[in-house]
Amino acid sequence: MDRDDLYAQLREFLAGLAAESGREFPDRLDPDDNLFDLGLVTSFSVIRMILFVEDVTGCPIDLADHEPQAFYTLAGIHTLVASQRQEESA
Amino acid sequence: MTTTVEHRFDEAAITRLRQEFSQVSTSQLADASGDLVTALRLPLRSRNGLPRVAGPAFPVTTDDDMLPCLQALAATPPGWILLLVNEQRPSEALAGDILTASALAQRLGGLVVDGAVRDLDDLAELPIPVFSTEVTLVSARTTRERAPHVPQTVRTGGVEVRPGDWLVGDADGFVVVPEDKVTAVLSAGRLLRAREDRLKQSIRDGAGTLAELTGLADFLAGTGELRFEV
Repeated sequence: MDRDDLYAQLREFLAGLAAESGREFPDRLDPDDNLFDLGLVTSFSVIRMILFVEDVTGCPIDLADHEPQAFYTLAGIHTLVASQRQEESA
Repeated sequence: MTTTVEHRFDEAAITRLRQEFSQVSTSQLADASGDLVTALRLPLRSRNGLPRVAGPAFPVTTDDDMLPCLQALAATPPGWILLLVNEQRPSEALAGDILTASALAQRLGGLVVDGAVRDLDDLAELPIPVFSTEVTLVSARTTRERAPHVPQTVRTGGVEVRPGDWLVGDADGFVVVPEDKVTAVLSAGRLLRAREDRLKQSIRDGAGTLAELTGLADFLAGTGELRFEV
């Protein structure tokens, strides 16, 4: 899965979360937008986000060696997944 | 997707995860992980002053009988938590200073007893977490009924605990984390912790009170949302 595919799947997932909670989903969601500050991911949905990313990428999300902020944005998530894939293959 | 702890019996890997869990409270894990983690509805208390425990569970049930406890102690791998569940109430003491000294020598991750322990003065000198629901000086003395196998899947505190599920306990309580979700749950807890730390820092820095930061007045006036997410 390339970066744009990941972004597209994440946007679709986040739109679903927003619909569930009655929030408006922004017309435009940039790779560096903070998903938490926008209210798209909350303390109660963060685990669903993690499991979704694990599911679509096949890559376990382990923040032990990363700053939590790595998971705040689409770009950060892509970088995190790429980094963990690299660690797995090393 | 399910991801198991990479090396189930790797003591170093368990130790690393335990250290990471020590940075996140059970309350945060429960908030961040929803239905994935389950709170143990048991009045478990630290009996030797060590306030936290985390590790894969090695469970066994007993009926005031020491034999299953000794069988399980003998088989519990380093880093794992020996979980003793007594079906008798009130419980006789299933563990004291001698059993705990052996658990320490075997490098177990902790001892959790749904039932009673004893010898608290001596336990205080042993650097291994010991939690129990009861304390009594009356020792379990029978060794009649051997466990058909160890470890066992047990039911305690309203929750089914399977061998390898992680137990995480602190002053707030205990949660059970399915073995195949440990990494995801830990990551969710770390994310929530970071957000909560930021919110607390904002309050300390004078950015606003909790009422102001959550938009309480607007919400009560019907003109805004209550922003309680962190």
